[in-house]
Amino acid sequence: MTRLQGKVAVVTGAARGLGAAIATRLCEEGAAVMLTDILDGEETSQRLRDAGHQAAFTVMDVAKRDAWKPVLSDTASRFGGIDILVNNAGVYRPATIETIDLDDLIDVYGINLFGPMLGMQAVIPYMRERGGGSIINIASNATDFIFPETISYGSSKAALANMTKAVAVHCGRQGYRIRANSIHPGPHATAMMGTDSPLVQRIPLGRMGTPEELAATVVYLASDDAAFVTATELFVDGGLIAA
Amino acid sequence: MLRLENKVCFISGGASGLGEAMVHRFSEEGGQVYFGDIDAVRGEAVAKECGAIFLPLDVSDEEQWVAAIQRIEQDKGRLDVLVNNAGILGTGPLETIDIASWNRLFAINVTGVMLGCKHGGMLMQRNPGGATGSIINISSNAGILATASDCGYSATKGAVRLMTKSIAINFARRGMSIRCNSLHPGPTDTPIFKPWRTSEKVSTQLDDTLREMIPLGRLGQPREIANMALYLASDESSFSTGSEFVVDGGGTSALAGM
Ligand SMILES: NC(=O)c1ccc[n+]([C@@H]2O[C@H](COP(=O)([O-])OP(=O)(O)OC[C@H]3O[C@@H](n4cnc5c(N)ncnc54)[C@H](O)[C@@H]3O)[C@@H](O)[C@H]2O)c1
Ligand SMILES: NC(=O)c1ccc[n+]([C@@H]2O[C@H](COP(=O)([O-])OP(=O)(O)OC[C@H]3O[C@@H](n4cnc5c(N)ncnc54)[C@H](O)[C@@H]3O)[C@@H](O)[C@H]2O)c1
Repeated sequence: MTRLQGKVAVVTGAARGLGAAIATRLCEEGAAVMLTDILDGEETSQRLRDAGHQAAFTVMDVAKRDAWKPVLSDTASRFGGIDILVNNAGVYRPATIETIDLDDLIDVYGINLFGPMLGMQAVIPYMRERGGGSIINIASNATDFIFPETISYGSSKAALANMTKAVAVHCGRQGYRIRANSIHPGPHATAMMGTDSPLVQRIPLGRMGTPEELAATVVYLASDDAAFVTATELFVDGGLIAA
Repeated sequence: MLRLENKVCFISGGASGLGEAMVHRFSEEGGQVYFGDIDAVRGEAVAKECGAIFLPLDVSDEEQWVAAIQRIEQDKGRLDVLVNNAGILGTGPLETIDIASWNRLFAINVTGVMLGCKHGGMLMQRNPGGATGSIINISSNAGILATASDCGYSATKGAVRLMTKSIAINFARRGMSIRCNSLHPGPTDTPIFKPWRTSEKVSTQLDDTLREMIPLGRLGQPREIANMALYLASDESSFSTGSEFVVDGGGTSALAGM
């Protein structure tokens, strides 16, 4: 399988969960992948290299203003450029309006929203150099339903989806051939969600998604198959928000 | 491994435009492709080009659906992918709507989709090993944003959008793994616009207006829409059902021209 042959990707939050599955699948489709996380992702990266893929890991906190530039420049010099950015790192901190603390909210926004903004801003020059690119932001289907406890998480993801579209429309009108889209997963079995989410019984397909299923959607958006797809939201949620 | 290997597929309106591109794309990816259309001449020609099988079908006629699905069941004993793609443009401004063309529009764009889901869905339920499959209903960006000059078209495409969700959730809640999603193309270069291209000048104006709607600054190509249909037809989208998939160069997210 070589749907991404010759392409270079950066994936944030790639040490585990959806990010690790995404990095793996991108490699399997022929891309060279820079994995980044605040946790140690060297093991995942080594496993990919052992399988004959092009992969590297570097520690990076997406919320740190100065973290992006050196990582992207290292990626470009190592692999020859950057075509794909997957903003996957994210955190969920349950709180309601009565319990939330402003510093906590700023923290969540820092990782889920400001981080992707910094990443998109920093990656655009690299993508322009390649004559185009694909930015994929992992939002959540929590953009479209409300729990009392999703006050920070849901609003950060809704803002991320909206910001994605502003970036997409800007890049489109500028003629950059850089596309930007958001993916909205429903419950997938990872450390963040656990394996027995109370939401499961409400999912029409009757099960949680697997990280591999989510990764297949990332491949589609990353590939040239999706050349006319930009500024849109792709839901991978077992039908949860449809009814 | 090809992306639709061993999957039996049916596409309505496969003799032209988006449907034709899907017939080709699905065949390239190993699908065993059947397709229907009212245009038998174009249908046979497309079939010859790629080895797919053409079946005459007017989507508004239930008996013809029964016959087409029966043929597939006889040949293959199963159906894995159904694309309800056949559709026509609408009836123009409100004040000028003629009831016969209005009814014909709904018979093709709405009833035709329902009949496909009904008979295709019933064969999917009989698939050996249990109910499986993926149904893709072609709506439009006009099912999301208003088309001021054509309330009929917008109404049919909006109907497809919500009918799709209802069918998806119904199948899922009954424990069947038959997925159903809507695909919303933006302006794409196909013969559907032929009736509007009455002169070169009008045609250029139309293209300019369409391009203005699209941040990517160009019309879509049929193959780009077929690529999304392929993603939805394949197991790559196995956790998506009842959702909307937009391929429109950013058109529904931006104010036209800005
Ligand atoms: N799992 C689900 O059900 C689900 C549903 C909807 C959306 N999502 C989204 O998918 C993405 C991945 O989630 P997951 O389920 O794999 O979670 P996870 O907790 O298993 O993985 C998230 C990864 O992000 C990393 N991370 C956290 N803060 C970071 C920072 N500041 N800088 C860099 N990396 C950081 C973590 O170390 C971790 O490795 C998240 O954005 C999440 O919101 C997940
Ligand atoms: N082209 C676009 O810009 C665009 C945008 C959004 C949505 N769509 C939708 O995509 C679908 C395909 O459109 P297209 O652009 O390929 O159009 P097209 O006119 O090129 O092809 C449509 C095909 O459907 C067939 N058809 C018409 N009535 C039929 C009937 N009663 N039974 C069976 N077949 C019938 C036609 O013979 C033709 O082969 C339609 O549903 C259309 O509304 C198109």
